[in-house]
Amino acid sequence: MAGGRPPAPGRAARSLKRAAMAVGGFCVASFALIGFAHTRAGRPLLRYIPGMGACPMGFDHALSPAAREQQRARALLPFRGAERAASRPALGFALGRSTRSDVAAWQAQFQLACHPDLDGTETTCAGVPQAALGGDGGRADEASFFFDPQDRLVAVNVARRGLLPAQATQLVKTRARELSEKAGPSSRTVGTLDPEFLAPGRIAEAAVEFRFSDYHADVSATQMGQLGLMEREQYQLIDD
Amino acid sequence: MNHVLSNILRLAAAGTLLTAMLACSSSSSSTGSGGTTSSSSASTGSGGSCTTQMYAKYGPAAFTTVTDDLVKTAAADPQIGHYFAALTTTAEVTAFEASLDQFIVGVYGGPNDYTGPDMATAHKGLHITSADYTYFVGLIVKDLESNGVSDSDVTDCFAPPITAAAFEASIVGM
Repeated sequence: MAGGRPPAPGRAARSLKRAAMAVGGFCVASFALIGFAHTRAGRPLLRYIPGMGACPMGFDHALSPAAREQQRARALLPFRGAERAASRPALGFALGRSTRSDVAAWQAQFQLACHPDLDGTETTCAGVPQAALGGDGGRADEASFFFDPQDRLVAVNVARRGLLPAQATQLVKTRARELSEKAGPSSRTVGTLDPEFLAPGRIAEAAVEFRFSDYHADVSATQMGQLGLMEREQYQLIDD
Repeated sequence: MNHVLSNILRLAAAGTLLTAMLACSSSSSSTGSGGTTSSSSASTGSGGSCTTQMYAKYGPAAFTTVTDDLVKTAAADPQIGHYFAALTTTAEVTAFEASLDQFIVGVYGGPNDYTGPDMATAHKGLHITSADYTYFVGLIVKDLESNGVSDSDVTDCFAPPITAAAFEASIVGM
């Protein structure tokens, strides 16, 4: 019917109106969705953008991943020791050698609930069971993994809350002993590794710190009164 | 008609892009002010009576040392270091340390020379979490202990202002 009648003027106007309404509706929905995705409540949605994990425009980054890594490396300079560590352990990983893929495989193996931050340099897992952490330290409330632009694992932070002073003290002692055996001797101890020192009602921290030219670790138990008792482990790579 | 539709679609795409950019830029500018951890003494808890005696007891040099150590320790912390990422030059670090020192000195009984923004303003857009705040308090405690502050002074005199719920509320989630 190539030679059929042209559409009536009213029909063309209706088509145009429908198209305009569809486009307008799309715009409103897009504005609403994108706007919401950039609010505090909606920002987690950005993580679901395949391969991004952040604002696709990149404007929500105060620092690029490379700049963030440079900042981390620069900030660690005052905490460098003179000797190299025998190894650079962090949970079951090796800083500088383990990669994002290794951590992802570990997360999958233990079916952990983890989420990346907006620029993808950090992944935080909540409620990590003891089996995934090794040792006898019990469940961790959170474990965060930090990556450099080459996807190397460069830092790990582990936190446990609600421990009793005796548990926290024992855990710090155990971790410190393990680190001494694997990396080398500790550099300093702050506070006293004694349950009484961390008794409820006090504000106090007991910590053991390891400083090497290529590795830094800090294991601590902090009694913070109403905020509770927290055990914390920090492991960081220092590029030398 | 195609021309009209094409223009409408272009307009829609541009609007969508602009919305995204504005939203992202707004977020960027707010997170770009990292490093501000100073606060208004007016918003801190009062703590025990010994709180305001700490400056006289330990002196200005001790306060400066603890402040400098705190900024270094916090910047090197894997969990909260990014809040200090904006401090990229020595001058910026020095200025920030001076401002923080002024605030802390004021809280603990020294001259009230702090002229920076109030807590909520200083931390607006940083989206500091309760967990991060707890980490920061832990670093303060560690630095106080490392610099020879007695256990009882940490618990009774230094801790009350920074562990007060109202003070934390003025920082967390801003």
